[in-house]
Amino acid sequence: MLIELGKVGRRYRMGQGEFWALKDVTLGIPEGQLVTILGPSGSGKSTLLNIMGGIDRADAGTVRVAGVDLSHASERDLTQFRRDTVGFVFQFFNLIPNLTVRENVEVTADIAKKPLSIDEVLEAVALSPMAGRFPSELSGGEQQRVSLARAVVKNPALLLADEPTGSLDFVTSRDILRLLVQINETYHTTIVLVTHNAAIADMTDRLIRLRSGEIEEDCLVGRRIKAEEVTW
Amino acid sequence: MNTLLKRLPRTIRSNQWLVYGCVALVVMSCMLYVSINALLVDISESKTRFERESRIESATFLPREPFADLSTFEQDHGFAIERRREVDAAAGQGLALRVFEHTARVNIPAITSGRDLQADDEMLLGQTVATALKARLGTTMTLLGRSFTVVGFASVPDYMYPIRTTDDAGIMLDPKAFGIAVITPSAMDALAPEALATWHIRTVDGSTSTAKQELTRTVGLTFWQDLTANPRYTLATAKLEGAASVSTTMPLVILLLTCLLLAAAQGRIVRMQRAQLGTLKALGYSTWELVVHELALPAIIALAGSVLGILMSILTMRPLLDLMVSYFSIPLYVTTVPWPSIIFGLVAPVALLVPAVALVATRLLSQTPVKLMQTTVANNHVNLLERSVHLRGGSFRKRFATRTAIRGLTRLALLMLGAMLAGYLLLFGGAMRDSMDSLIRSAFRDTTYNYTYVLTAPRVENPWGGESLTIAPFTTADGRLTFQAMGLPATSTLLVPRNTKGEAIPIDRVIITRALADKLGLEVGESLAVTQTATAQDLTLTVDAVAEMYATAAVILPQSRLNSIIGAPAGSFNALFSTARLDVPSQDVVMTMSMAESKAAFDSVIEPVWIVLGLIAVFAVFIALMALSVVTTLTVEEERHSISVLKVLGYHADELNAMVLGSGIIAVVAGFAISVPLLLSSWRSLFAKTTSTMTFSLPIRLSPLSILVCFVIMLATYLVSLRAARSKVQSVGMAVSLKAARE
Repeated sequence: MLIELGKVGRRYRMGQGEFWALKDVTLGIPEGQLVTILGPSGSGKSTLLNIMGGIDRADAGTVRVAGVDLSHASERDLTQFRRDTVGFVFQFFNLIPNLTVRENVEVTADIAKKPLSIDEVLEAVALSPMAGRFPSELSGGEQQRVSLARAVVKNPALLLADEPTGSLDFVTSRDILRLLVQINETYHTTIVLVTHNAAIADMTDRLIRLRSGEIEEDCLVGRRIKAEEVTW
Repeated sequence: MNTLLKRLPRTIRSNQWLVYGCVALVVMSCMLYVSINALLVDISESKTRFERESRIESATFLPREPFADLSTFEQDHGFAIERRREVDAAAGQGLALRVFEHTARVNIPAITSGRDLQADDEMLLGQTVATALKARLGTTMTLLGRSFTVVGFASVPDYMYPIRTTDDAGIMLDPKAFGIAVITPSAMDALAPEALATWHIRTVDGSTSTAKQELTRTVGLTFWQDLTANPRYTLATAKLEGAASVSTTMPLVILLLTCLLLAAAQGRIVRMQRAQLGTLKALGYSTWELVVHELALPAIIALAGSVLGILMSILTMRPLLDLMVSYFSIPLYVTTVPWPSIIFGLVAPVALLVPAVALVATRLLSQTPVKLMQTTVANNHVNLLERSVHLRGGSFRKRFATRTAIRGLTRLALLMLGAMLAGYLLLFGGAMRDSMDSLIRSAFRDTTYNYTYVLTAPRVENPWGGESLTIAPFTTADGRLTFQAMGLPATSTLLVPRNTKGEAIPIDRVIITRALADKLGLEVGESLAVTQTATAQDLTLTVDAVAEMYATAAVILPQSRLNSIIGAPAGSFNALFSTARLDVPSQDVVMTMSMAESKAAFDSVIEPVWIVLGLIAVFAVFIALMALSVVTTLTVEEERHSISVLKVLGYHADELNAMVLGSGIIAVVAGFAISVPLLLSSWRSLFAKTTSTMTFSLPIRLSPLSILVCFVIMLATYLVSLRAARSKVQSVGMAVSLKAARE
């Protein structure tokens, strides 16, 4: 298993009281799987993704990803883990505004152990002609493609995407989904995709449904459709 | 090149004004600090070398009897003694020169330009007068009817601060009206054979007590003045020390406050990038890598500012040095590279800015990437104060402005710091003007006489008119301060000592001037232990009243009492005050002084002060503009989200300007208000120290008018920076900033 979670909990303090965003979440994800985590707003799906990616810590349970025990890892180890193992795609892209498209990808390639060719990655996401542009000169879809390229260039074992189509229109969203599937198939990258759009689950291998911080449903998708066929 | 580093030039370009403003602040602070310190090192070292190489005297004296065998006396005690004659000569265009004969063993003239004397028709002209008159070598001057060619410019060590007299006008240097000249002894024989001759002694270690005892025993003394009681030396020393205190403290304070201001501003810039830093952290960058990256900009600002500042200080150092040297008449022996100041100037901004920003960045980056990314440009955190303040009354705009102020308390503190710094500098000019003004008024208010004549000997008869008085020099028991004792008749009308209420104090008691009271820390009823300078007789006086006179440290006694103290005949006098010129024969007068000349001299001293004040005011306005611009830029950046939302809702840029930036006025007023007591207290302690050995005291004053003028300048500066910020508010796009808030 690439990802092993055992009775994971995450608590937030809210004024005087506290709120458990995740409760007793136990699951395992094998290498190469394309997984959808589905749930309504506030169900804990982003929290779960962040814990898997080592950018947040669980308050209870065990988290092991790619052999690294994240629940007991030091800050230094967590940084190393993120650097070597994980690629992130955010809903709002989180690009560095004063770096060009190419440089935004380079920023990850710079610190990766065995990065892919930046040109090839840009070619793959159809951004070569825009390599010299700044994020503010790109559309939302183009910015998300840069974000994808930035995540992929380090050739990560795990790619975590938090609402990658959340702020995009339908056509652009399908384009991004197609790219995610392509990455999964080409590089055998394990991808965990968080969304509240149930239609997306049909193009993935597995669906995990969360409600109020707990796993409500965890099942394999019977027949995986092509990204181009996804519709909502 | 590290990819992250590529952000740097773009960050600089997109925040040009902020970055250049920060650099300019460091440049100015560094330049001020380095050039002033270098200047003082050079002047101070030049003075020390001048004293050594020109063999400055340890004391001046007049022997009662001639020396039987001077060279044996010198050898027996290790002294160097030399007689020097001097005569005052008019040199045309209102210039009077004190002409000395060239000495060879004590107080040797130092040639600052040209060459030494080789013939009897040659003269050396004092450096200060030469500079003031832009005199050239080779010109001819007529002194007492004889022609002399100026072959060199020179400084004489016991006239380091070349003033004509050492009493009321003593603090005034007017190089266009008075200077010194040196001719050969044989030329002096021909020019003025009966010229006044004084004796000058140089001891091995500079101490004079043994010398005084031996001279008293061997030839007797009619006059004795230690070098440390010679205002022409002590004023130079005190002014240099005073300049050193002001000049090292002020630029250091400015440099440190600038660094503090910038560190705070840079810290906020780092905080504004928290979402980006969170993303980079999520991508695998370590806290250390990101902290180092965030330090690049402050390091560049600090380094560029300090290097440019140091380069500019090298350019300004020489003109400043020339100005100082001509003012003090000290030959410039050294122009050292001020390494300690340069290193401090170079290191201080980096050493203060970089760790401060590192601290902010490290603290910020200790948070998880998620937390960093969650709190985006629109900061959703509501602090305790915001929660506890319940605003109900007033318009929405006012309440919004108040909320923005409460929300950005540290920002307001930053603005207050900038206003305080600028206010301090502006008020510096105001206080200097008011204090000098007060000094001048106190110097001339109580004196209605226009001329002072000091006679060669006490007289009982007064065939010339005017008001007679007796004067005698006194020294404090510890020898630290020499001042004048004035014996006035009870009917004195030309000099009327007055108390704080402006009422005349009757001259039937011991009155000390405020300048003396300040220096010695004396109050009414306390005792004043003094030594009569010429006779070394000790006595103790009880202070009965203090006269509000700042220009002269003096004790005023009934004339009969002073006569009895100094052993002068009853009813005698040795000086005259007069409103009109008196016809006193020149052989009976040691010195004549005109108040008109004193006033002219004062004006000439004040003139460069105005230039300095003007420069300081420009500097202050610049600092205020920079500080205010930095803070307003930060405010607009931090409030982008609110500005954008309000724009979407239909608010105009002007309204937004007032709502977002309007609360800054509170900080500006508060900062300015704090700078008033800060300036007064720091100046009082500073000047009490630096004028302790001078014959005057500087009353530190700051008039309401000056405060008002400075405040108006400050307010105008703030309004200008607000005007500039208006364009920044206008440039905040609606869609762009809303998108930025999400990112």
